[in-house]
Amino acid sequence: MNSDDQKLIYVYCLTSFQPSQIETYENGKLYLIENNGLYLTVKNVSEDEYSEVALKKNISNESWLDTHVRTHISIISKIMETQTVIPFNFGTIYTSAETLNLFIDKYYSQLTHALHYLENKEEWSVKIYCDKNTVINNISILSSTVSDIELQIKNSSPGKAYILGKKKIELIGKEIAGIYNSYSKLFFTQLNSCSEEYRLNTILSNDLSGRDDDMILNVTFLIEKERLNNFIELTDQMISQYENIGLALDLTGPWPPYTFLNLSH
Amino acid sequence: MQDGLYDIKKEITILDILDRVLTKGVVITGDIVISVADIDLIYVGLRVLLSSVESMEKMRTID
Repeated sequence: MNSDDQKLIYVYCLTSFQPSQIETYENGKLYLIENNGLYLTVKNVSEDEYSEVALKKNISNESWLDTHVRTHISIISKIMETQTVIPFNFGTIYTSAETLNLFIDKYYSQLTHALHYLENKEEWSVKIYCDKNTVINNISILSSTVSDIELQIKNSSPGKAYILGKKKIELIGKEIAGIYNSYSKLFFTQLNSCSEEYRLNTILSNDLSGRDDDMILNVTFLIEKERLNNFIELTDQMISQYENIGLALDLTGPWPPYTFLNLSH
Repeated sequence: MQDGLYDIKKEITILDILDRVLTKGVVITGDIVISVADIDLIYVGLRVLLSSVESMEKMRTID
């Protein structure tokens, strides 16, 4: 299989069964390496593109990185449609089938255990966003502290009302954080009732999310397939219930189970 | 259930993908390893490059 210029082995994922139709991906370049009933979907790549030095250079090229990571995850996602996978990190390269087999031999029992644990489960990502302006427009309903100060303003002299008005602005800033926190907890608690495991991820800034509304929850769930419809219905219900108060939900999945891949399971 | 990612037409950001394929599942490493320092560099780069990356073709189909 190896040719002189394609002597490195790039690994996509590991499965318990032979993935079907892998010859239809990547122009027929994928093949399987079998080790004691486990199947690694791999392809041969060149040192020109994937040697340690070349890889470090290439991952700094956003166009190369974008194309290749999307292909990486697309192939794993296709295989994942029919069976449980252990996804490998992007750019996992072995110099020979021997060293790859050594890795499998060493972690064999943990790999089979992880495959068993992940069976019939899917990784889903939920991001909840909140529109600050909608919160501000409804602040007197959402915050009793703000509604109290508004009442005081109404019943005060113009001078006192002016000072209280400035206080109200400060107060709104503080109250927004509390409101975000309560929304975040509300969504997390309800959605987590359908999940086996979760990981809370970093809240991304508006620059990184590319959105005008604020991210208030970034969580990944591991969901039993049989509970998936309930989970998705719940996200639909929650968003129809809360979108009028400025909340938006971004649901993506199923992802290869990177987040819950713990070989110590 | 749906094939592939939940809504294939939805923009799956490069950041979401990188967050998984580079930073998670670190227990599996090959003979050639992308170091953590490089991953940090990618993220720093992404903060600047994200908008241009995201305007590129989305969810390319498999060859």
